[in-house]
Amino acid sequence: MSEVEATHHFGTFDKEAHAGRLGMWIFLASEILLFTGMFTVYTAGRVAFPESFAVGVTENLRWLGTLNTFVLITSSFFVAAGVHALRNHNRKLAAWCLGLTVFLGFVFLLLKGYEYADHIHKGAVPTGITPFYIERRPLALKYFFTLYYVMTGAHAVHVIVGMLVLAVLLVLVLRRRPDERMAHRVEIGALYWHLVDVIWIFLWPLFYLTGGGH
Amino acid sequence: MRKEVTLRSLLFTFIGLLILTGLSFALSLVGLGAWEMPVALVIAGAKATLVIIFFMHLLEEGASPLVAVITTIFFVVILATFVGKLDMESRNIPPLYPPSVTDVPFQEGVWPSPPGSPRRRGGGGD
Repeated sequence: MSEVEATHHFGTFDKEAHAGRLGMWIFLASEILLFTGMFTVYTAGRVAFPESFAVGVTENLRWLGTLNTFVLITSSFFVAAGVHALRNHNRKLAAWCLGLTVFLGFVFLLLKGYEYADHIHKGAVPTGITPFYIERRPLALKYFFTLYYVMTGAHAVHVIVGMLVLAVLLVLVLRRRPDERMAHRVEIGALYWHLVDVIWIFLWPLFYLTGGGH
Repeated sequence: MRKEVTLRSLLFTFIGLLILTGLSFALSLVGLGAWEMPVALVIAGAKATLVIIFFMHLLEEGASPLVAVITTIFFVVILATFVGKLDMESRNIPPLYPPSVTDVPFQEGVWPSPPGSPRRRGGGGD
């Protein structure tokens, strides 16, 4: 049994921590279902306009999407290592891990911003008819790019929220004595960051890899 | 007492994720035709499973978070497969534009029309 004092109605801190983790898992499930709606629309679009979607994928920067995948996976490892360090009362290592995670989140957003700017420069915008869409057949490309902006944009919002959560936790780790409650808080924040990673793991092949080998 | 995920298993998970990412990237360059999407999604599923089990410590948890995970996967599969794919495949979807439109060369500010028809300026929506 934990020595950390529990909120009184839980009785023990172990029960409180379990309830906290379960609550977070259910919240993450609802987040996944939010993205499931978008994945369903993507699937429908892909079935209806397979050529347009394949062309759309080739218009995205595969090297950048892949680099971003490595960035997010590495950040996910660091945040998991941070939780492990905090459980073992290694505050310094935990702080480094959390700091690196936030930094990698920033790198991810910078790369994503570069890609958005590149697309906008080319005319691949979510609304309107630009020469980009007219020059490239088939014309359901706009459907693909609208989905691209909505899905990667919603994901980017989650990255920003995750970075803010982890930044707050980093400050708490630096300021307070690490105990089980602190480790628990960081674990909950880390769960959110892993969700960001899991969603990107599926967005990456859908928007960057499945362009028919081109 | 919960079973703890060790640093060693975290490291192995990380290496596994890097390998699977590299594999997915390499296969995308090869071009697997009709198998491209299923293979990419299977690899993505394997990566997500590794993250959920080890990084998210599902291995340490009891049955209740597992119920949330399984329920979520169930609904993802139901929606994406039945609504997104199977239903759409059973429909007759007309093309967005007649094929002749794609033969017309692009002109700035002029929306392409089939050859022989009068051209209109400004274009319209999809």
